[in-house]
Amino acid sequence: MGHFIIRRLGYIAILLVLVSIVSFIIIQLPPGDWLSAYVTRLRVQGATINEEIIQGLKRQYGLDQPPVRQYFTWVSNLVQGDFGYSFSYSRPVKDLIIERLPATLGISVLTILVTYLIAIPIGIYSATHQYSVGDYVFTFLGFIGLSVPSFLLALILMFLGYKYFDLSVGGLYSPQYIGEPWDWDKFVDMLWHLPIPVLIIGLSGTTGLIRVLRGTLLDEIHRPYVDTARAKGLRERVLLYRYPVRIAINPLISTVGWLLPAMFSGQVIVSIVLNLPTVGPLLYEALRAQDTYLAGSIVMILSLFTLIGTLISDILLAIVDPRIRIEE
Amino acid sequence: MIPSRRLWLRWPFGGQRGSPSAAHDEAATEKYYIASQWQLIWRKFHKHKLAMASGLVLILLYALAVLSDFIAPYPTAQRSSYRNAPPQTLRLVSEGYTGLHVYGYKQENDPQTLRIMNLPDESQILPVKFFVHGHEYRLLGLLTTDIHLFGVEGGTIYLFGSDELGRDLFSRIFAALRISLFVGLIGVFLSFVIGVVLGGISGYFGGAADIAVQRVIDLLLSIPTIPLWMALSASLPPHWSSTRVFFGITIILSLIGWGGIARIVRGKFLELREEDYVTAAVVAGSTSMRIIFRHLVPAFASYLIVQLTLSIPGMIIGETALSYLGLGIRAPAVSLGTLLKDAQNVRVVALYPWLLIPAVFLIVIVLAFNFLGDGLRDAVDPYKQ
Amino acid sequence: MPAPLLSIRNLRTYFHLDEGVLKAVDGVNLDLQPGQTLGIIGESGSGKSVMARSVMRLVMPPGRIAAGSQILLSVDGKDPLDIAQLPFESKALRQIRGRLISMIFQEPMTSLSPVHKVGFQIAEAALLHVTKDRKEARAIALDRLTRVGIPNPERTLEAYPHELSGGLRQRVMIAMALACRPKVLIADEPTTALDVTVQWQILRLMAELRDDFGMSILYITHDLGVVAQIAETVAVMYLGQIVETADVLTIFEHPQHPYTQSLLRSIPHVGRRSRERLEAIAGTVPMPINLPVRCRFADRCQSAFSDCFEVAPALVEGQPGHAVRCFLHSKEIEQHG
Repeated sequence: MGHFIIRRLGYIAILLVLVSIVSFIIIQLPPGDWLSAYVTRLRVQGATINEEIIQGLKRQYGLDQPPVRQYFTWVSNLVQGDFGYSFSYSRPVKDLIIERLPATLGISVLTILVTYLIAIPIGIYSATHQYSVGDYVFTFLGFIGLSVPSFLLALILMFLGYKYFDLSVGGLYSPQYIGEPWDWDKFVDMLWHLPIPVLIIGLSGTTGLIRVLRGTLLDEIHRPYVDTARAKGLRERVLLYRYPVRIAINPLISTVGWLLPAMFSGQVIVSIVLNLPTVGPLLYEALRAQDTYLAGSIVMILSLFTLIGTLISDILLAIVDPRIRIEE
Repeated sequence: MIPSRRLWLRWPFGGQRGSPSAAHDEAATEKYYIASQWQLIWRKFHKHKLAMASGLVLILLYALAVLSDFIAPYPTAQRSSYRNAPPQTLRLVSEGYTGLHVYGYKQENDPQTLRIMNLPDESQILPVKFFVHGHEYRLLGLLTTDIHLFGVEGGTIYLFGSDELGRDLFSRIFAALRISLFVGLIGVFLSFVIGVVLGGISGYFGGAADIAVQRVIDLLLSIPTIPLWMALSASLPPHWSSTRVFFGITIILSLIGWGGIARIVRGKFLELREEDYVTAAVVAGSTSMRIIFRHLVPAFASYLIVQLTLSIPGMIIGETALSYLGLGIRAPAVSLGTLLKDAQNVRVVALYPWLLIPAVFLIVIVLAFNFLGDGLRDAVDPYKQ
Repeated sequence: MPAPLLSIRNLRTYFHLDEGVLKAVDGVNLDLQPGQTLGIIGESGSGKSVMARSVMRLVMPPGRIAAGSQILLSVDGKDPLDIAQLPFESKALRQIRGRLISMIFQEPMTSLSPVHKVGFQIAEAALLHVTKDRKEARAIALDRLTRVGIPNPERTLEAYPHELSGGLRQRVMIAMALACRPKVLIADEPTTALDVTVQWQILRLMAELRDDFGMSILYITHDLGVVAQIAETVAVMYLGQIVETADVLTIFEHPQHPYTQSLLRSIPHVGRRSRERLEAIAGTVPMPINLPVRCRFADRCQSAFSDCFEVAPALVEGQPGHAVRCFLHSKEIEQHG
C-alpha cells in the first residue's frame, strides 16, 4: 500500500510539472509581455511610472531573461508562495485567490457530495428496475441534464426565478450581507442560496454518474458470482447490495478523476453567470484585463485541486478494491 | 508464391460474411448470423426511433445551416428602427386578406416607463412572398444570387423578433447555426485525426512513445477544460479577423478534446493486439500497416463513430460558452453563444423573452446528438440484443 | 431401490424471446438416488446447463419453468417438496439453496466475488443456514478448506480469489458448496476451465467428498472421459431432451442412440487402430426455436429414415434402466418382443 501511494505521488508530481508548464504558457501567451502592456495602460490613463520601478519589476519576475529561465524563476517564486502580482487589482495574486478559496472549495466539496448522494440511489434504482417507468423518467431527465449546458441552465433558472417568483437567483448571499462579517443570519441566508448553484453545477456530473452506475450495475447483476451467492440461499435484496452493488460502486470512486475537472469547469462558468464569490469570476476578469499572472495561477490552482482529488480517489479505490493494489 | 497470393486475394472477399443471395432462403435466425457487422448495426439502429428522428433533425439542421443565406431574409448585421421587436406571427386569415401574411409593427410609448414598444399593427397587412429578391450573397460560396426563401415588401418580417439593435433574430440564428454546428464538426474531425494518430502510436508501438502520449493525455484530462479554453481563447490576438478566430477557437477546442479519443484508441489497440485473429495475422506475415488498417481499425471503427458523435455536443457547448462570455466568436460572425450574450441580463430577458430562442436551438442540437450517439452505441454493441 | 432423492418430472424451461419460444429444456425426466452420481452429457446448446440451473431456480427472465414441470426433492423420508412450484423469493426456496442443494459453476474466477475474502464467502453460507455464530462459521470455513485439500487453509481464509490459482479457486468453490453439508451437489462443468492435470485432481476430490459427506452429485459436462471417471448413471441430452440414459458401462459398451454412438466415435481411444480416423458429428446443434415435431437429431443422423422426419420418437425403456429415444431402438424392441 505504501509503495502504491509513493508511485501515485510520483505520478502526480510529473503531472504537476506539466500543469505548471501549461499555466506558464498561459501567462506567456498574450502578445508582448504583460509588463509593457501594463505600463502602456497606466501611461494611457495618464500615470507617470518611474523607470526604476519598471526595471525592478522586470528583475523580480525575470522578464529580461529567456523564457526557460523565466519559467524557473516563476516556479521558484511559486514554491515560496509568491504567485505574482495582479495588475488589475493591484494586489498579490496569492491574496486574491486565498480570499476566494473558501467559497470555491466549499461549493466544490458540497457539489461532489450531492452528486454522489443523488446519483447512487437513482443509479441503483434504474439498474434494478430496468425498462420501468421510473427508469425511463430518470433516463430522460439524464438526457436533459446532459444536454442543457450549465451556464444556460443557470440563465434559465435566473430568468424563471425573476419572472415568476420575483427572486434574485444569484450570488451566495442576499445583497445586504455582502461585505458583512459572518453571523448566524448570514449563514442561514447562504444556506438558502446554496442549493441552486450546487444543483446546477452538479447536474451534468450527476447524470453522468447515474449512467455509469446503471451500466456497470446492469453488467454486474448478470455476473456468475451473483448466481453463486443466490445459490447459497441469500435473500435477493441482501444479495444485491452485498455483491453487485458493492462491486459496481467501487469504480465510482475513480470517477472523481473526470468528475472533478468537469465540476471545476462547470463551477467557473456558473459562478460567472450567477456571480458567486469563487475563483471563476476572478479568472474571467483576469482574462478580460489580460491580467496574466492571475489567470495562469487560477488555472494552476484548479488543476492542482483536481490532481489532489484524483490522488485521494486512487487511494480510496485501492483500499476498497483489493485487485487494484496488485495490478498497479 | 502463387498459392499464398491467391489466398491473399481471396481472404477479404471470401465467404466469411456470406453472400446475401445465399442467405435469402434461410430462416431468420440464420440470416442474423451471416449479416455483416454494418447490416446488423443498421438494423438495430433502425429500431431506435428516437435516434433515427434525432439523426433526421440533425441532417435537416445542417442543411438549413449550409443554406442559411438563402433561408435568412436579412443580412445578419442589418439594423432597423424596430428594436427589441416581438416575433411577428404568421397568419393565414385576417380581415380583408386571406393568404400567408404578417402584421407590421406600430410603435408606442409604454405609459409608465416611456420605453418604445413595437406592437402588431392589424391594419398593416404584409403578405409573405416566396423566392423574393433581397440582399446579394454567394450560395454555397459558388453562386452569386439575391433570391431568398421568403420575405415581405414594405415592412419587416421578424419571425423570431429583433434584438436591441433592430437586427432580425431569425436571420441571425440561421447564420449562427452555421458557425456553431461546424465548430462541432470540424473540431471533432481535428480531435479525431490527432487522437487516432497519437492513440494509435501509443497503443500499437508502446514503450517511450506510449508513456509520453499517456502523460499528455492525463494532463489534458486533469485540467478543467473551460478555464483552459477561456485562457487560450482570450489570448487570440485582438486584431484577428472573425474567420481566423473561428478556426482558432475550433483548434483550441480540438487541441484539448483529442485526449479522450486517443485514450479510447489506445485502449482498443492494446485490447485487440492480444486477440487471436491479430496474432493469426502476425503469424501469417502481415505488415504492421496492414494489421492496423485491415484488422484493428475496422474492429473498433463503429465504436469510434459513437465516441465522435458523443463528443460533438461538448465542442458545441464549449464554443457557445466561450462566445457567451465574449471570449469566443467575434463580430461580425455570429454563433449561438454570441446571440445568447444578449440574454445575459435577466431583466432584459424578462422583457424580451424571444432572446432565449437561440437556447432552444442549442438544446435541440445537443439533445439530438446525444440521442443519436446513444442509439448508435446501442446499435454497435454486438452483445446487446 | 430406495426412493429417489431428487426426481425431475417433465421439466420444461422455456425462454420467451422476440424470435419465438426457445425450448432450452423440453420434457426432461430424471431420478437422482441418494449417494449416486448422475452424469448429464451433451454438447453446448443441449440444454444441460439450463436444466441444472432450473433445479436451483437460477433461471432468470426471459427464461421460465413451464407449468406442469416438477422438481421433487425428498429428504429424510419427508413428503417430497416441489421446487418448481416455490415462489422465487420464498423462504422455502432459500432454505433449499445452499443447505440441501449446492451448486458449483464452470468459471471459478468469475463465480467468486472479487472483492470479498475467501473466508467470508464460505462462512456466509454457513451463517445463512447452520449457525448464527461468526466464530463457528469461520471454523466451518476452515474445516471445509482443509477437507478440499487446500495447502494453507488459515491463510487462504484471508485471501482474495485473485490471489489463488484456478485449481485452488475451484476447491474454494467446492468448500463453499459443502459448507452446510448439502444432500445434492450440482456441478456445472466444474473442471472445464481447468488444466487437464488439475481436472483429474478435482474429480478425484469430488468423488472422495461425495462418500465422506454422503451426497448425491448431478454432474454436468460435455466430456465423456469425465463422465466415465465419476458417474454411475449417465443421461445424454440433445436439444433439450434426454435421448439416452443408462448406467455408465452400458452407455460406453452398448450405446443405442445414434447420437451417443457418434459422440463415442468422436473421442480418441487408446488401442484404436492408428489408421482409423476420429469422427466428427456433421453440422451443429441448431437453435431450439420453433422446432418441428420430429426426431430432433434426424438432420445430423446417418441412420435417419422417413419416419424420423415426420414423428417424434419417445423415450423407451428397452432393458431395465436403459432408455433410448430412437425409432431404430424401439423397432428392435418390437422385434424381440
